[in-house]
Amino acid sequence: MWHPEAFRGAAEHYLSWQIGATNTAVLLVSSFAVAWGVRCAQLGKKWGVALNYTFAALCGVAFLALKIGLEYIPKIQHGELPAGLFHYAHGGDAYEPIFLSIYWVATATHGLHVLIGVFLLLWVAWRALRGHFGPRHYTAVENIGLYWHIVDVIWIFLFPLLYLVP
Amino acid sequence: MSTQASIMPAGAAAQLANRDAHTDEHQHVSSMRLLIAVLVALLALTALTVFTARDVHLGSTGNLVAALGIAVIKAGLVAAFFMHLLHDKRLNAIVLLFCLMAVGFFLLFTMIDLGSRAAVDPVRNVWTKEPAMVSKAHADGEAAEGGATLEPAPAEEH
Repeated sequence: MWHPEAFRGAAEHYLSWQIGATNTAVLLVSSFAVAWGVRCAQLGKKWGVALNYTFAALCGVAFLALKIGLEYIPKIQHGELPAGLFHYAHGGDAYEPIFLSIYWVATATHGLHVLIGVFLLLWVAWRALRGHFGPRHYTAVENIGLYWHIVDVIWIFLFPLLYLVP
Repeated sequence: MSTQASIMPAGAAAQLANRDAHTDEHQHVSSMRLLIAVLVALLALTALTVFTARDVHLGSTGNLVAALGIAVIKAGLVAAFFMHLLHDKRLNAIVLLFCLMAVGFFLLFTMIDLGSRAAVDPVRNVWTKEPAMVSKAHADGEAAEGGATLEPAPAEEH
């Protein structure tokens, strides 16, 4: 029940590693900005928190723009959809719809969390500017940061597993 | 917090804040040099994983192990430095590892029937609309691979 040949072919055929790698870099940079933002919160620099978290949110928007614009929309147009929705005309292996099912469920769930994260980051940035945080009171900054790092870590695993299937 | 500080002598405010156990665990401030070094390492490892997957041929399993090994290192860097796990209480790291173990078990359980699933729920060949042909061919393949114990064994041996 393993279909390595289908998955290997599908990764090459359906996904561009360049888009995946670019999105990986975008998320890593955003994670760095969030870590920097937490440092600013510890040092009591509210503008540092606000700018870093806003930048990280923009990275999240860039991630989603690349994902939706260059992957989801063309895929929907070509019928490269999961399981029974699949109606792509140039498939190679009978089990490629399984690959696309995994791709869609995994990346859409991840993408939803990126979208949620964008709003949370902007919310924290706004609160930072309102002076809600101090060097010893920045739990929201820290926790939203941790959430964003986890979203990044999930992508660190999704990228090689989907885009670089060996 | 700031209002407290303003109505108290600075020393007293600091003392009060120091007793606040909740915020004390978070007090490790990472240096910018460390954060930048971690970012550079993460980007370099991303380039490395692309390079090993595309240009270094270690066999299917070898490449998978390499890709996941690099991903584990990257995740470890994020967790240890960006998420401050290294400077946190040891308990937090233990909780994280326990959670990862639980996730591992959950994923493992979904794989229990990988070898036998085709016997009861053949995957349809979606785009050629010939489910019967594919499922039969697949079931034959499974039988040849030793999955025949789930079905009545055919009389003749192949």
